Amino acid sequence: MDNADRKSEIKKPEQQVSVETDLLLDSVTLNRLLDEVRNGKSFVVGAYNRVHNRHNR
Amino acid sequence: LSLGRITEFTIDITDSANVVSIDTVLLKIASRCNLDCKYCYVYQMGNDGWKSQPKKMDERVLASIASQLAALARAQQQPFSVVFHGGEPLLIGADGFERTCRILRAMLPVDCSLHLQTNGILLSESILRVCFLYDVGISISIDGPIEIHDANRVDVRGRGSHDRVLEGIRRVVSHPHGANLFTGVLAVVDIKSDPIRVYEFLKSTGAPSIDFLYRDGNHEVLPLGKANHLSMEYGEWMGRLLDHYLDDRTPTPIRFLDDMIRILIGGVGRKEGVGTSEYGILVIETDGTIAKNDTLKSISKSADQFDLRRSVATCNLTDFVNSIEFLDYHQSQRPSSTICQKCPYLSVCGGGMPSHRFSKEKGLSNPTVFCADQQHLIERIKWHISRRNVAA
Repeated sequence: MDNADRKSEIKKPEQQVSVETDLLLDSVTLNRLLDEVRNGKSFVVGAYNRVHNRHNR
Repeated sequence: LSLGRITEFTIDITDSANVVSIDTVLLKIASRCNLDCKYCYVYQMGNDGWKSQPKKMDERVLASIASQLAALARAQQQPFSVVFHGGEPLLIGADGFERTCRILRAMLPVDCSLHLQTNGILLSESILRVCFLYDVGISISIDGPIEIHDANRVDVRGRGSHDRVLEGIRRVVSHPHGANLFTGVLAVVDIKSDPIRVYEFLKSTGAPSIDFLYRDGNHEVLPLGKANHLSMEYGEWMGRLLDHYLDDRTPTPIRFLDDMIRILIGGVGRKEGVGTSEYGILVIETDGTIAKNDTLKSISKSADQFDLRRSVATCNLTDFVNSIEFLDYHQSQRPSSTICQKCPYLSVCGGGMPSHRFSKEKGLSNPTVFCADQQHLIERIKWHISRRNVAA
């Protein structure tokens, strides 16, 4: 089996992306997460990450 | 240390999309543990690979690893985290831990981070000094209040460890640089517990973040407390936690929930088993053997091993990461079940962790054994968002 076959065998699912705009910010957590998403503070896989603990999952 | 011939691989250089980027290197610097937790996937789920491993990582093996990791970082031009893991990694002792950190820091690029996943018992002032000197983030395993924690996290004599773990946490929190070193606590869910009480307790430790893990299991061996494939014990437990978390005026971030929420409002996940981001996880055993994500140990004795046993002492790690065999392992995290492919929740759930998808009949081509739990939790998050008049 060559690499092209392997890639077609297991499809990478598409990322669902939606931009929410009118959230009632009565939740501190939702407020923080929305701020992260809106301001592009999204995590880049492989990037240095001090915010959260790292383990094997 | 055996210096055999350099192993050769079939290296995939034909398609840049097939290049794997490593983001986490789990370094098993000690193979034994000073606890005997009842649910441990390393020691209690039928895998006894640890028995053939040296108790501690030899300095020559470490030097070889450091050199290979430095080459890998240069080749992939992406930093990664090295996570000291075990067993209990601090069984290597303060001097051994200092040597380990010194050697790695001397070889690795500055943007590669060092982290320690520990049960906290051996977090002495000497260890904390090493963590400060070499900028090592500390994550501590604790399951909640004493009766919940000590129900499973016991030592080899069956004694609870809660008091000793809390002492370790207090030592980190009270350290002059503790705020920079402490990255969070890691708790395994006990579905019989009150999630709000567990959360409030973990908050009270002063941890800057909390992560939860479900009990390990698969379609052959259901996770403890899960009645059947359609039951939602874990999802309901996490849903109750979610309700409280989103109302909390002074919340401590919960990584598991944050990831799902972030994806639902347009961001990306950061955690294996949530969302469809791909993670490059590499495990190096105490003797230098290269292995797959060790959570696969919960499936069978050999599920975390590559077909051929390879050591960093005898093979080129960068070449191996770019090999077809490693690519196959890497792609196994993609949810390949047709049920998942058609599922409207896939982009949030991601099909769960590979180890939780296993069945004898279909291997990893199944939805997670927590499928019903994930659906329940995602629906609950969506309800919370829609209730707040979110316009999509």
